[in-house]
Amino acid sequence: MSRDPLRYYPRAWRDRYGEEMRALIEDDLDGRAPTRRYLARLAVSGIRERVRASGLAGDSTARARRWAGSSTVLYAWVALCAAGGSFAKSAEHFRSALPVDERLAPSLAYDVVVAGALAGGIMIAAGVAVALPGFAAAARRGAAPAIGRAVVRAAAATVSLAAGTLGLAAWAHHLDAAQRNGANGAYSAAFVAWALAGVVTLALWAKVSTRAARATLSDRALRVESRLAVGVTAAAVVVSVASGWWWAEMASRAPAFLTGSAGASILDARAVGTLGLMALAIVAAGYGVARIASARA
Amino acid sequence: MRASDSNYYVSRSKVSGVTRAPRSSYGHDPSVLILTSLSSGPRHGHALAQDIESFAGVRLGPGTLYGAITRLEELGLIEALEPSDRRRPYQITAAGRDALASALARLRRVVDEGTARLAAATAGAS
Repeated sequence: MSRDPLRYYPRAWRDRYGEEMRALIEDDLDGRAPTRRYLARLAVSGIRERVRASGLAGDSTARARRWAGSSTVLYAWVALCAAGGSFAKSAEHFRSALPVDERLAPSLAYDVVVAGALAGGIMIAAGVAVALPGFAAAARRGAAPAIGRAVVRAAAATVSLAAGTLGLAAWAHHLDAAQRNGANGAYSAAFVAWALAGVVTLALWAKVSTRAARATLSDRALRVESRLAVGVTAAAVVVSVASGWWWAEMASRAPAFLTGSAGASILDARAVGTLGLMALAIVAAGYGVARIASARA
Repeated sequence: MRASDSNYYVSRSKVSGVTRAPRSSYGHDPSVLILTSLSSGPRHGHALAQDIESFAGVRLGPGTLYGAITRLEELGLIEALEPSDRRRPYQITAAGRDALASALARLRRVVDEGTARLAAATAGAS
């Protein structure tokens, strides 16, 4: 066979079962060349094993399901942060656009968004705190997973983001409110690039966290992470629902604040993009929670 | 592999726990077949496939066979022995024997019930 018939299997699986399975394939074929169908069946089996090993689908072990479910929720939170950035930009100084007697409902909605985001952020930080001792212990034993390259990438992205933040802040200082909110095309493009860089940086740190935690989390710590992931999902739902509420309130009370015209609605492009991304994040987090729940079955 | 072989290759195992009933049809759950084969002694992959073909009339493909072996080993129902010339034999564990007994009892209940109902239906029709 010119190409490895087990190339679709995960590496860890090949390390454990690869040699004996190759021997089985040789015995099974008895000198005949494998047919395309035979190779296709092996490829399908390998891909299934790969998906199963990831914990994202199939009859994975309870530990793999908890890990995959918790990781999915973490990435969903990163997506929610991206949408949250768009929300925060849209809501900048919104109270000043409202008459005093119209502020209660939008302010309440905004405060719920902030409270939900804070609660989710605290749970994410708690998750990191739960994961650190196991990783530190593994590092002391010399058994920490090889995440050096991932850490370097995330750190480089963080430094770039910090530099970008300082540059953008300095630039914004010389612009008026209208220029900062879309009138200056170059600034808007730079702001979008900065926001994307922020999302990429968060995603890179999420990757570092999940790779570091996978091999070093104890079963007990993983259960705690799973519970925190359920809490983070609940916080994501609160943030998303309250964001929709805020948008609806502002569209009815101060439409000009959202789009600069009197005809704004909750179906404005930015609202659809932001709330749509939040909805996707909730769907992803919900799938993660379902994987965690399936570990108990 | 003969083209006709594909007609009786069985699907991949879905049994993932000792408390879960086999889900594949006609009692051809690869996990049950493997445990049945190993209940009479250790075997490596090819010997397992040949033995299963001889007593069950189904041929497990390498992907199906090793998918089931992976799960059974994770569940502690079988254990690996030292390999010999790249071929690693497996043997059933005590937990594996219990799981097999439970699976066979479930299958037996279905067989008994199906047989009784079929007999009643046949008697009613004649």
